[in-house]
Amino acid sequence: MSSPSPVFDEIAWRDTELRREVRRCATGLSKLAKTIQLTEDFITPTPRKLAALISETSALIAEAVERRIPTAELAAVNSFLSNAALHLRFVERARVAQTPWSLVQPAEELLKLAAGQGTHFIIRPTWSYNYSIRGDFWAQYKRYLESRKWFSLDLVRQRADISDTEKVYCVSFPRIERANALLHALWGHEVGHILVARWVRDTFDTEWKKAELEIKKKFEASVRKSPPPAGELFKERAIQDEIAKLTNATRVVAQQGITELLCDHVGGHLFGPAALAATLEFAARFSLDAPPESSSQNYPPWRYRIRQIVLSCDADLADHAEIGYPPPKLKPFVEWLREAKRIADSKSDETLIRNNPVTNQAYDFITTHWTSAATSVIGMLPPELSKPYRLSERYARVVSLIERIEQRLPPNTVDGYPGSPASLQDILCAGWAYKALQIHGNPAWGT
Amino acid sequence: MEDLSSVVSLLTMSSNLEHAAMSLRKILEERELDETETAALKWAGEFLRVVDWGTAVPDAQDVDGHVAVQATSIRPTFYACLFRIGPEFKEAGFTKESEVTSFLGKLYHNLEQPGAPGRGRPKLKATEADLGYQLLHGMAEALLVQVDSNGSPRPYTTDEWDQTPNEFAIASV
Repeated sequence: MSSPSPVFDEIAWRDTELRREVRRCATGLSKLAKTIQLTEDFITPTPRKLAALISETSALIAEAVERRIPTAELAAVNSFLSNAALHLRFVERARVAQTPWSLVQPAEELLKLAAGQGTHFIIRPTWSYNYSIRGDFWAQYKRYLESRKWFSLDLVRQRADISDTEKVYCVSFPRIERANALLHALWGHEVGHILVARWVRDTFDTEWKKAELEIKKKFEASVRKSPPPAGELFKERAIQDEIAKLTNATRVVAQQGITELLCDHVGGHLFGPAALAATLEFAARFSLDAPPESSSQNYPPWRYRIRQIVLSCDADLADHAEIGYPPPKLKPFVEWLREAKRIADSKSDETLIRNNPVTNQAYDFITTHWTSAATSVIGMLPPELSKPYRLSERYARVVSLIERIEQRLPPNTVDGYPGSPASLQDILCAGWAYKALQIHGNPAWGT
Repeated sequence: MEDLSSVVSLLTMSSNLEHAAMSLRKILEERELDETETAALKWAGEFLRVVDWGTAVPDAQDVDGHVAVQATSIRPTFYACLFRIGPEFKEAGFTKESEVTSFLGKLYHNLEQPGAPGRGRPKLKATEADLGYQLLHGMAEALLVQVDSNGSPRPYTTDEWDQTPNEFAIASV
């Protein structure tokens, strides 16, 4: 072999150094996670659960380093530990003082209902202006460690007191929006990621495989017209490389695009106009037409996303004179939401998508699979949530909540005292409608 | 959510490729392979056959959808690593692309059936095993770099950085 020299065995050197470092880091991480688990205050048990999982997993890795982990795996184990260490920040930031504590429990209940029992959520702020979801940590740790013969997952199950039916996710929200409950309607999109991940796992890969050959052929024709420069050894493979890059870029855009759009669809289904309102307010900060490319992390243009959510709650944007919808207290809100339709009417985003061969093919894929994917993902919701949220069907309850807000009472109950608890969806819709009502009277309201 | 999932995929593929690379060394040194090493070699051979468009897969339709997507995502890394050892190919006497293709076919066959060369597929020579080692080891390292940036700081604008291994993006709004 050319790499190691007879006088200095680089592989042996690395093995010694890395083994010692991995052991030290695994031990340190385990202790740190244990300290956070035992000393911090959290609203729900979930942050402690993740801390325990990280602590016990790292401790077992530390025990295995000396004798059992093969040299070939040390570098990857080191990377695994580095990633697990990053996950501790989710735990640390979920302390009571950091979170909208009054919302965390009801939000977690709704998220659990949508994602299935046994699912746990950490809800924490992030400094970046973004909502996101990460996880399932336990499933991914298992996926990596289950094929490591030197590691016992059973011991993790015992020591961290976690079963295979449990899932642990972290939902993040922008720190500066901690008290802005209305924008948290975007959590519906985030929980959508859990369902959509199932669709991606079960369906996307198979559909992609079927479509890839045709996509490849289309790129091949153009690449062969002006092949990349290459020496004699790799002439054909340089062409293949170019096609491979384009094909993979198409897959990334298609996968990212359909994922985000499906999550928007779930958000619109769960929260109706509140989801559209939150998306509109969020999107107003950014370019509506920025095409899906690496600089925008391949996300669909905001205009495209708004168009899809408008479709999800179109019924609530129409007048239903026969039932008196929208009533006066909802009219400014519905009027404001109708601006989304005007935004969606422009096709400037689609023109940009169609002008690029990669995004063009990716969005052909998305269009082809959209209806069946959307049906399949909504079908994963439990029966209680299978019907889309319709403001036009619940407006009487929402109006009664608006009246409570006007009286400076929490919009948490309907039908008078003691009444029945309001749903999170109704509360958020009432909040948005109240906001629209106030801005209608005074455009500077709330600033 | 792709971040965690893709990180795990990359770590697993990297480990398997590194196992296979080290096992090639062991074969050359005529040392015994254990079960994990044999499995890693077999996995690497079968997977690279799907990844490398230059060596036709007879039953491409039989490839599992998940493997097909993994192959799509890793293919650019495969070609980059192959091109990177171009000078070593020349040093080993390769002058035509057909020789590279023939070598890669032989490599995959040896990976799939370590120690049992078939008709027309003789055991790898020392220089060939070395090239195979460099390709597999190079890929294993390149995949890890996609996870950990090889220890360099990641570009960030806040206290958070968003992993984008293999151009996967994080799941956010």
